[in-house]
Amino acid sequence: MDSQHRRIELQTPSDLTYLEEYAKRVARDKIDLNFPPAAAVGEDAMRKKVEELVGQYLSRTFAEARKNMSINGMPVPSADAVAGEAYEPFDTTQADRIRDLEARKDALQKTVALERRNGAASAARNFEKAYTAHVDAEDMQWLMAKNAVMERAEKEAILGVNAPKREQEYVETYRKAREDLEGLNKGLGGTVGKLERAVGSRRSLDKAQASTYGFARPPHGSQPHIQPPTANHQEDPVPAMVRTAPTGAASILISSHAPWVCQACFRRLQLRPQAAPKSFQLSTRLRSLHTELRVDDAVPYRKLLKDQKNKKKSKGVKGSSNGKGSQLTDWELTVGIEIHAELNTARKLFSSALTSTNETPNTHVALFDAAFPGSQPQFQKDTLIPAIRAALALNCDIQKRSTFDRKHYFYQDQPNGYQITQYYEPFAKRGHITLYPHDGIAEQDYPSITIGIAQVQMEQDTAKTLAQPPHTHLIDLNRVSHPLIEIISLPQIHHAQTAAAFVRKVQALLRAVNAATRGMEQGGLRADVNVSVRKNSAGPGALAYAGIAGLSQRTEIKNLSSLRAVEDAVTAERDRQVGVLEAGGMIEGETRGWTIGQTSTTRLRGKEGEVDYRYMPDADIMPVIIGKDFVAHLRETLPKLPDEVLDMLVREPYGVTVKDAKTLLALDDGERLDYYFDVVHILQETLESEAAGVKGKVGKMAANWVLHELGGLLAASTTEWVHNSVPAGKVATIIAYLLRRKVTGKVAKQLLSTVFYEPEREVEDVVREEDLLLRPMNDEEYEALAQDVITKNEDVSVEVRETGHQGKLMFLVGQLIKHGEEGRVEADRAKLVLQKLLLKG
Amino acid sequence: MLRKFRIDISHGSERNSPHSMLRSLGQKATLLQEAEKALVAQSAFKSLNAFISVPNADILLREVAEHEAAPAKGPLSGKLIAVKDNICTSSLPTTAGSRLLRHFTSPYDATIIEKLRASGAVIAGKTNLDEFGMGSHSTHSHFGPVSQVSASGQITSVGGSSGGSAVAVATGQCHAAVGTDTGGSVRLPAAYNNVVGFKPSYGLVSRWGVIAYANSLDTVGVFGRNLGDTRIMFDALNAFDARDPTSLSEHIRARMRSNVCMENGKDVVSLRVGVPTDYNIDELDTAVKNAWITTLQALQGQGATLVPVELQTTRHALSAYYVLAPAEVSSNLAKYDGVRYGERTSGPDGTSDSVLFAKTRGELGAEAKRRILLGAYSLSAEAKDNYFIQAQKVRKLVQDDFNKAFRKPNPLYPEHRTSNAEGVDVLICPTAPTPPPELERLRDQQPVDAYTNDVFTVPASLAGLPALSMPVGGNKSNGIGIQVIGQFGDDHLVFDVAERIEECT
Repeated sequence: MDSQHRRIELQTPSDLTYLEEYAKRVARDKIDLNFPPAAAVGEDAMRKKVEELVGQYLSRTFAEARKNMSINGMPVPSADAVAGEAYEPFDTTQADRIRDLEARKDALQKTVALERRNGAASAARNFEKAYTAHVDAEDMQWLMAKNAVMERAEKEAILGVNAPKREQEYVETYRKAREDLEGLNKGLGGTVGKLERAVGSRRSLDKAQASTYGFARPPHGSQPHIQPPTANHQEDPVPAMVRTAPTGAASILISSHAPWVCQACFRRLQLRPQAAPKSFQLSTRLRSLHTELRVDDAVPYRKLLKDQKNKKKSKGVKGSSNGKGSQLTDWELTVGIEIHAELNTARKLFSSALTSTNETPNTHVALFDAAFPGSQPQFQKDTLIPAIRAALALNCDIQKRSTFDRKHYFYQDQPNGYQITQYYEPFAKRGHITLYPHDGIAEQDYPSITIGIAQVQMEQDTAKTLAQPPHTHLIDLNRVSHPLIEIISLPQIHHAQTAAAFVRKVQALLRAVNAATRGMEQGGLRADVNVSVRKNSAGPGALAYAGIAGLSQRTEIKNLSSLRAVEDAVTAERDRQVGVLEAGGMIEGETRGWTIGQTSTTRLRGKEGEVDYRYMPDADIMPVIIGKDFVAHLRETLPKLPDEVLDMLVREPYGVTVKDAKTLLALDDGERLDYYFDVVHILQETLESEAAGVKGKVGKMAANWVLHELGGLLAASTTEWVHNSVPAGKVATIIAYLLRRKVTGKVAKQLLSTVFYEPEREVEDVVREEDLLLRPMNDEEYEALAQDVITKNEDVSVEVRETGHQGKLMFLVGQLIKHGEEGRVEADRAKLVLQKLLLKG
Repeated sequence: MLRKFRIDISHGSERNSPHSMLRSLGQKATLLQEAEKALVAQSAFKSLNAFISVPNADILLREVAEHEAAPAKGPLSGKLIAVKDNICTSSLPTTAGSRLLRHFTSPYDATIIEKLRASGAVIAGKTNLDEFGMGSHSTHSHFGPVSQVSASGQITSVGGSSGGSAVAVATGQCHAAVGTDTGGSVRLPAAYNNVVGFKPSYGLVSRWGVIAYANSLDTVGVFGRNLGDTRIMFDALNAFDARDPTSLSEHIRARMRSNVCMENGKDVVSLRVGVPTDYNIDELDTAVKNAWITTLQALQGQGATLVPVELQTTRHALSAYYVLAPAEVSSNLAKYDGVRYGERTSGPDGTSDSVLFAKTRGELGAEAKRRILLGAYSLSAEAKDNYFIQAQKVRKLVQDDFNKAFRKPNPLYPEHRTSNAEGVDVLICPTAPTPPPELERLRDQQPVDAYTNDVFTVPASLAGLPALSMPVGGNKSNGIGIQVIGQFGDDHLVFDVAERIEECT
């Protein structure tokens, strides 16, 4: 019975944990108040009994409540599955140890800080110069390698001698420098390791101690139970970091094991505490339950999914999709999908109240939204615009006439007792979209698959329900009547991977035409899938849907809120149905649910439990008549679709590679693409007066920087994409510097890293303050430098002069860069001057 | 619920009393006298239970006095107008006669309340009704039944569901009144109470703020002691309202005006009067039949042409109505779940072993529950094709029948704009098959028997046509009404013809 009702919706499992813990804490406070622990001599039997009873009451209440809750649309696992923290008696020896370790940790922290401030920093500075030379050398390495091979071949052929001594020397120097650098790094790593161990043991002790207080982790906002008595922790960034984000800090410290030490790494270490809250904001932005957030407890939902994905990957892809491989070859899977998407509109569907996502509850509510007696719907024509755009992007026929119907069921989130939808006459029918390999379809569907859209209909959203256990449900009517579209696909999908690709592509299309702005992860899109299987050898099934015949009995899995969930739920349900059928069973038409991380779907209700929605035309809403000219206008002004954008990106003036273009389209729900266009746009304006050769590089260069340079920084810092992590203008400025040859490539990379970790600094300021501008040498300077190099490398010079050997020439170019002032020698000008001196002169 | 009425109002504060105000202006206090008379009547006829709530008498009289002192705002200036209690008012509670809304006060005024005030009307109170307008005798109210005492001293039905409004007008407790008519809820009480009741074409008068019963049939109707008062009321309310999505647009109103030929009504000689022979049913009371015949003969005597008209689907109209209206009720009343406004039962309502909101909704009256269940059934997947869909088809046939009968085309369907020279201008028939029954006898009736009372009023409702019920002949206390039905949008012709009938009977 209760499965018919909508559930109390929580956003993350930690909300539930929080609620439980909160209830327990309140209970304990109350008990403390009435049975002061100090007043009792020995054990208070009364208190113990009361505690026991209260404990029982609480666990019973939450056990009952769980049945009526859902977390992110998934049923809540039973209490045993998420067993709380164990209680331990207070242990004085452990507490003493905590203090000891605390002190040791502080001492170590000081050592690390000191070492970093004085030792490591200066060491790094000293090595940096050497290292920089080697980086330049590395740039030349391929040339040299090539040279070496060619030279050796030549020598062996002509003279039969080995490679020149000088080159060996050079290689040796490089190797040694590298070793030194790695040695330093390892030394630092050792210290860091010590710190980590200290932090780790402190954390476990914290936990032990905290659980003696009854809570595993301190709530966010309150300070940790034990404040490190570090005098200088204000200036010392590491302890601060440990306090706010221990896991993040640890991963950063570990990442410094990589054989790369530069100023940016140090900056990154220092600035990490500022960067960290950003990523937390990302996850909390999605939360609607305004509980106090414990930072260390809030595993972002996205991360959860990512972890799951990684776990799957490491197990091997085949494990998930072909688990019953041999058994499955004879079975055909059929999937149909219904997608509900929140339309991007200013007003609600049936009132002039404004739409909202995170406003104060019940502030965007018109009389009709609250279903006041005597109130009537006012259809907002403007909501048609995004709806029609969406339908056009899905290649649908827009219907001249469409009508609204009432779908009846009782629930507190539905003020009228019915939802207004388009059941009998939807506004769009008979669409299709085509999926390609770059959309992520299953290999069996290569090179492309076209999936039909049966219809697209407009409908109202319901209110938000916020549970206030044990008995209160708070209702926020702001979301009531937010316009939605429901997109119903034909059952033409035969692979789980393609099902997920379909949802992903619909999401991308809706976003591309600005019909919907919030994606699945933000709760702006959810999917229901209909799944059936059929034995190929058994011939067509007896059922039909939307003109597609030969289907067998299907089940529906409701409320899938991520792409991963779509794929996994379809796979699990296919495997379950095949299992049932192979065992000689029958598939029942029923509604099932899916929880992230499960291996099987769970039954929610059977056919007999289905709600009869008693659809009825809504006589208060006149039929909507959509004129052909209006549709034509929207079609003409429709923003470019992803496939068209891909096509555009690989052509001039962008000239991005297909691979990069796909990546740009796929990343961050299209935000990265917008960002890329911003960068290109700014660059095109900035470089308007430049030569065509410079301007022609803009598209490709911007793609490289937006994807690879910035992407590298994001990956290295393990931060999520945020639109303004580096404003487009800054990246454009850096690229412009580079294209105008005002800085060298190396400096440009350094600039990006600087403005990434120090967002308050402007590119121009960094260039000025750190004196990074390329000061081009004049011809005389080049010649002087070249002469110097020629003198020092007499053998090679002579050879170049005599044979015009290109490889040798490039070796000299490398030497010229090395001997020149840092960041001043441009390779092509160096080559020119050498050519002039050695070949023409 | 009823206020204490102080008869002796003039002994109030001498300086502020309405009398003193008027005396100082040296005007003849006709409006105030009229209002006082109405208040006396309210007190005298309190036992009939016409009102659910009324404003404070002093305030009301002061309001009337202010209107009297100032230049008239409109034809209703200073007049006491009673309003059916399913029309939202922010100054008085709006209960719809239901226990669930017994403490509900709307945060806003219905459009027609604004319209009345703009014409200078003073709201006399909220009148009793069948719960949410569902009933034919005004007996299904949480606030008790409305009744009247017949000439022979029997307590009889006042008709429903706007019984309170009809009684208030008939007994002089107000100047005129507003009701709602879904299947005859204005016309039937008008007939039983010997007053004029008019149901306009669907969509002419705004429904914004009118609590829905069956929204595709609901109209706001008006009551008056005579045709003139009733027409003034209608004129005051007849306007487009953007807040009502079914309100007829200015465009359609203009088309309706061009469609209507007023001289038809003024000139009896050219009038073609339709007599629906299918309405001459076995159950028709002799007195009612006589009143009908008298009316027709009188019109014929004035030179009007009588034309027998076949309305074959009429016999199915009542069944269709009692499928469609409950279906809409089950939908429109779904919002009364105790969550947002109104009353809810104490304790949890919807645990794992009970149905959500069942306790609160169980407090609806018996008739409301009966119709909700009927409606929920006829909309269910299993029954829909046999009931709801069929009834919609019948509704269309009823509309077609009427369109065929009338001389003028229906302005809603400009594509079928061929006028029918053989057609009629109006249809004339009784409002109800019998005079008002005794309340005592109704108790033993089956619900279906009560439904048959609406047999003559429901067809016009299904087609959305204007229809007026008026008392005829010398004996205007017999509880018999004659109904004039016009083509859609021909509301003024209906009034014109009614005036001719009044002149000649």
